[in-house]
Amino acid sequence: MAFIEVQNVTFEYPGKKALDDVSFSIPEGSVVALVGPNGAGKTTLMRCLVALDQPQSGKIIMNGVNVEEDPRAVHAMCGYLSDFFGLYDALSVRQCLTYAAWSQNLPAGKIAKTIDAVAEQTELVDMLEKKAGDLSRGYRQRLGIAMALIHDPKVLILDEPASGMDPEARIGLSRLMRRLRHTGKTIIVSSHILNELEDYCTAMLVIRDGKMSEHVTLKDFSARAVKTLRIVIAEVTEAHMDFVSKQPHVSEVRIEEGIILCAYAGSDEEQRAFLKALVAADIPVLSFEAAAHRLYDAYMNISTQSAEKK
Amino acid sequence: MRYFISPELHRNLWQKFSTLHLVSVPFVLAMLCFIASKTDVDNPETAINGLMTVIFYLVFYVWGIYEAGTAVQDEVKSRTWDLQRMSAMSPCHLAFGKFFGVVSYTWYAGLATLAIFAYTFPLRGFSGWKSSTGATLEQTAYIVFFMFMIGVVGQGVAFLLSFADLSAAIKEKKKSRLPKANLPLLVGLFTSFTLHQFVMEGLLRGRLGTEGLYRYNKLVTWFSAEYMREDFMVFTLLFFALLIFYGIYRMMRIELMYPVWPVGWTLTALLIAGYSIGFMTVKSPTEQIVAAFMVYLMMLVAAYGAMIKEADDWQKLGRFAARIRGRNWRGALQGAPSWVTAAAASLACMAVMSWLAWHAHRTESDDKALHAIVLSATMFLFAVRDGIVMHLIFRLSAKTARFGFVLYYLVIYGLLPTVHMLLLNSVFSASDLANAVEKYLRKGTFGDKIDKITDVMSWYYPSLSLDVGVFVPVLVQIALLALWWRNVLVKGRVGHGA
Repeated sequence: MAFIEVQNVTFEYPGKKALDDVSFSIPEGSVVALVGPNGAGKTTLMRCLVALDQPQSGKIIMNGVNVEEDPRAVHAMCGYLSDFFGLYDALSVRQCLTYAAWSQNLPAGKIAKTIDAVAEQTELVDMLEKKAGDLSRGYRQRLGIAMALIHDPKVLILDEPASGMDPEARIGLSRLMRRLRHTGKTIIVSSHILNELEDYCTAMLVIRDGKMSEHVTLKDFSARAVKTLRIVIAEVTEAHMDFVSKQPHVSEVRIEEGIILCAYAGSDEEQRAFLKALVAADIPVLSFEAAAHRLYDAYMNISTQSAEKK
Repeated sequence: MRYFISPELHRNLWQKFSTLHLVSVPFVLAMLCFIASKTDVDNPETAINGLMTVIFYLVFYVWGIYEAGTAVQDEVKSRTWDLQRMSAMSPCHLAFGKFFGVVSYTWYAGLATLAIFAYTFPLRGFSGWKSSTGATLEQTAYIVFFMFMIGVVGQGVAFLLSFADLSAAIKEKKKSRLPKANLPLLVGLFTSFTLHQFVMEGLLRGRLGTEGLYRYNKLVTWFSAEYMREDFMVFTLLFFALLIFYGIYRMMRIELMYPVWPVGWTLTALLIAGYSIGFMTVKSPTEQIVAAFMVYLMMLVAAYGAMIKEADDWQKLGRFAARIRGRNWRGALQGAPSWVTAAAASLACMAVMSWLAWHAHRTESDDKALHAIVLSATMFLFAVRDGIVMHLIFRLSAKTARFGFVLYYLVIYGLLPTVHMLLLNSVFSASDLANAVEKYLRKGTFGDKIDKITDVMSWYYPSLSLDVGVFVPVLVQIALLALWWRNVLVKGRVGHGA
């Protein structure tokens, strides 16, 4: 049964539809990547989900609660971290967490224990006495997530949590998200960095121009067995492109930075035959590999399809 | 401890009260008192009292109002507002925790200053009659209460307005991190200044006598009852403070997404109208009509103000329309913009006034009463026209809406009538106008010439004329705008994208 059910949601700014008749459902315990280009409506959708904004029309049901009718119940079951969030820089990490615990009405006797548990989960134990203003970007992000997690919400919604982070902080965030994945929470994460979402997401929602392009679980996508092949050829010509396009199981051939990329739906054996055919045709292949990122493949696949539909 | 005070107040106290902050207030005040006492060795209390008065106004009024006016907007700018909105704090805990939290330090410094003021006030001399008795304890208590409460009301107004200006702060947050509390600060200061003049008239000017605080107008007549002026001012300040804090509570409920019926603004306007007409004499039928017209006018102003405020809230209007289309009447009423209820209340007031005017016309053959009906009806229709234009301007371009508003008002209320009048000026001289007005005042009817001017002006302004034709221009304008709304905007220009 769907834990989050979104039905025909529309949200309009003057002269623009940020969300246009969006519908989808998310099962409990899923970790969903919400992807789409800038301005696609990701943030508006997330804010509607956590009842910070109300859509003009449509319905959102979260764990059986109608978001429009009881937004406070939705606030109680959600943890939310916006794309640009702030902290009380003058307070220590412990004070920030204490404030978050108080403001979520946690029982007084449980607060210290909860703070310790959340700090451990988010790897903030050594930072508890530091001022929030003195933390690095990565630790600030962790503190933001820790504050969102303090009341043990059933749903965690993170808007671009990795933006502006250095590689080390991103690895740390990825580790944290993998850990959260096993807590059974329903998590929705928006990000531009698809490779990292790959590590912990189980499904993907693609939104474009306010419309839901596709909703796929990565398992479904693997079953479709569509992958992206990356073929590096010395001096690509039209004839090379033509040859590749005509091969069985190949679709959506394109060139990016001199490298041929194509969607390939064949088996491993057929892929070997494809390489043999390239060599037999005397095409100077320098490299031939399947791209490793399923999420990236899925996104590219959906993007190409929706571009073709237009 | 959290059960006794709000988490929000606790957080603010953490941030505002370091040991240095705590110690610095008594230290600085002691230094200032010492310096002041050395400037007037014969009468140090007067010097200290004068200095404390200035410091109190600076700290409690200017600084306090600034702090209150920036509180919510600072949360938005520092991007912590969503965290608070999603917390489990009740609107009461969050609103008053935040208000008392942000002003806590100015209250600490202000009350310390006021304590010294209260101690020295009865001891100070007064220019011209230094040797006479100073203020009594009762008089001092009144003055201290007034000074404090006027500041609290100013701070409350600034805090309340910071909610109203929240959408501006949200748009502002991407551009600048600098606090922008211009409107709440200015209105808060203006409120305090106006109340100060109203409540403290004659006080602090060295005119204290033994008979009472005020030399003049010792009694206030309100709804035909007489009250001691000091007591009435206490009631007035408490009334406004309650109204403001209730408004703050409601605004916080809206921010926390609690269902709120859109009646707060209308009720506030009605209460203020009720308070205001209490000062009027309402006995004769004409006085009753005037009083009813005043209430109507205030309600219409309230509806107009709400329209200006809510014209940019396209989502709210969209939800309202969608719920009406879906026959969700309860949801539609609950989520209706405030101007809807204020406009409904205006119509109700207009009906009452019209009934009184019609009654006066029938019993006393008073034609002037009928003019009030026409004037109020055309005023309402012009407000409807302006409301449609406001929403259209926002619909067309939210970015240039403010400029669009100003341009619209300049053109429709300034440029077009001026051009028309200039064209008519060759036909009608100023003396024609003066004669027509005189005729109206004497006989209650317009002359032929002024009727023609009225016809032209009824395209731009509400009219008094009893001619049914005065309704035509504004109704035509409304019809054309409604058609434009329907055919051009709703159907044709809805784009896509975030």
